[in-house]
Amino acid sequence: MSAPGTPRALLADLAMPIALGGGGLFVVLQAQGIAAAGGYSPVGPSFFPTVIGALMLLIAPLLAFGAWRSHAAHANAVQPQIGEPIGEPISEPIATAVTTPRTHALGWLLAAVAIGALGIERVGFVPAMIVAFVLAAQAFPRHSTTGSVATNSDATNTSGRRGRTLLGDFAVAITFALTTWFLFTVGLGLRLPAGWLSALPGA
Amino acid sequence: MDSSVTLTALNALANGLLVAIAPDNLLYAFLGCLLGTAVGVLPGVGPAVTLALLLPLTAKLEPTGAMIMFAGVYYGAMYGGSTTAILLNTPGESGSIVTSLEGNRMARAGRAGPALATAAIGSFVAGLLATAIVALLAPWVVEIALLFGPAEYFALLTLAFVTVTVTLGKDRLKGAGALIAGIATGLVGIDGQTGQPRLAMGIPELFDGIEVTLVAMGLFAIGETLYAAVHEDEEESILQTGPVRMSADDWRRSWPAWLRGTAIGFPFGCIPAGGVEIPTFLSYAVEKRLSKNPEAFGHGAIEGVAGPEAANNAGVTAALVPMLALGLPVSATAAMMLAGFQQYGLQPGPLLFVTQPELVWGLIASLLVGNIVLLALNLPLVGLWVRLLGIPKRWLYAGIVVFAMLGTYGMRQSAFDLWLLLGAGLIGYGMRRSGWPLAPAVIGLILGPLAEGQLRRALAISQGQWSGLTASTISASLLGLALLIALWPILSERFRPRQTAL
Repeated sequence: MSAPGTPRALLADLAMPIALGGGGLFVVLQAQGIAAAGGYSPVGPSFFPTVIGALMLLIAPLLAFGAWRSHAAHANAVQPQIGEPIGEPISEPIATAVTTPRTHALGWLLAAVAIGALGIERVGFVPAMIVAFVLAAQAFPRHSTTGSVATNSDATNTSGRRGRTLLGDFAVAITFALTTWFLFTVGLGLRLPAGWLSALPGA
Repeated sequence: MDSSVTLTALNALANGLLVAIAPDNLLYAFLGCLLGTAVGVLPGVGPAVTLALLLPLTAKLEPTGAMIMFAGVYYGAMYGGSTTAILLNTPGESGSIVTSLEGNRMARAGRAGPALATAAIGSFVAGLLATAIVALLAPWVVEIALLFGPAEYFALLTLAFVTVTVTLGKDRLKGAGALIAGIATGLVGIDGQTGQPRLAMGIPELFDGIEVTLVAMGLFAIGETLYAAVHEDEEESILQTGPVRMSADDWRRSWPAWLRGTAIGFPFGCIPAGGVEIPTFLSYAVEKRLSKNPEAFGHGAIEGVAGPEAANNAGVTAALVPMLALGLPVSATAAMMLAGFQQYGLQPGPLLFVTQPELVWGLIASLLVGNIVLLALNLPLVGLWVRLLGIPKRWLYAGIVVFAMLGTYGMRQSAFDLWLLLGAGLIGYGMRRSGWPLAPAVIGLILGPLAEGQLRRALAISQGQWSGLTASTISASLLGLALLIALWPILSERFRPRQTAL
């Protein structure tokens, strides 16, 4: 992915095999704690988890080795060619342009979902989702339209523009949260926590 | 062929059509198409995510109406995916990768209109033909499926696991990792046969297990959003579509490609985990070889859009045969359809044809109706869908995050599920970052518990004898086939005479 061959990239590529191995260990250990059912049962409730956990433990080191090998290959390989021949099937679904990853974006988005989880039953759907929406929006650069060409002037954002963008985020967030609320509670009869806004129709 | 089975099928389909064209059902189909396209057209949102996001919409409808709306969403999502593949070069699902090859070239050359049109009409033709074949084929598969006992089902599921691992994604090991992780997730909760909690760590919220839709939304929607926020840069694109109209030459070049694409796509969709990646690439290769001017490929050849799009749609529709007749989802999209069924406590499989014929045939018929509605809706509305792409990315993805939370919370009113969503999102991000395919995880989550249940039932029947699993010819040959496919890379390496070109 980004900057292949660096130690940081290797660590990131090892994250999934490590998670799988850890998960496998957890599954196998947990499976031992499941009491065998009484009576006649050729295969009890702990059999399948044990097998699956063992498979996870088996595959994880193989994946880790694969990640390490491709990392080593990248480290002393020439840069990948930019212009891949179009006629050949491309194996990678979405071409990943090598760019600087915006790691801080991860924080904004995780915060957005966390606020949603913490707030939805405490302050209600609408307020929690407004905050979550605004937080999630901060993960993306300003004036970034999916279908427009980026202009250089985007890089020089003044604090005034930042404030205007934030205001815009809030306006859209409020509209979006309220529209969804009405659509799903009044329109479709789904029950959502009203929280602070218990006077809203549909609460 | 036994003509009575076919006749019964046609009769049932006619009844289904009557159900589907009832005014309120037609309205649901229309709404589904509209919403499916609107969500599916968003970049990074493939058909599976669209279905997951819109699943709560149908929660309050009665099953028939909900499934009909779902069919509309499904077709809309498929078409929306092709639209982004063509206009933005961002295929939402593996089936549209090939579409973006030539489609985006056409769009860059100012021929986005004909590219979108040939994709829409090609999908329509393929969908229509494939649905008709599904209607004729499904009852036959049901007849076979009724012969299946637990041992045969377990063998079939094993075969599905192997083929999923092999065909989805380019790295088998990563596919296997995703599949096993999905199966492990499916183990969480109370064991159905003994009532013992497993892997739940004493957390009551986990006793009911982890919802498939939750995992799908976390992996696809949240994971994709995280990935886009961290890694993706601005992509430039073309917003002017030009005239939608196809020229006479476009028609002449498109229609044989549509038919060939359908013929290639359908068989792949039928076999467990055939997927749409292989048939779309195959269709592309065939069109390139048959073309009078293959040098046009790579510069926007319309056959290169028409064929793969038809193959994609035919394959996805054909996936309904194993999904409805056997309860086997063979793609992430079919897995979401299955989740839709399970929402109503319906377990697809041969018995569903017997117990809920009006639902099954209503669904098949509504696929036909949905296909027509979609064509009528989308050709005139292309301009509107294109304008949707003008929504700033930050609001688009923020909206997707909120929608995923709404869908997750709406399932069982539990804030705890939102934490699970967060976890699934992080895992989805990690998987995308490391190039793990996501679909095997969802399929493992759905099929894992089924496989365990069938295995335990089979062993109970054979009184603990493992040989009982291979006692019947059907189960023995299915397991043998699974073994063969699993060992194929080693075998083909051994006996390969020489390198053959694709």
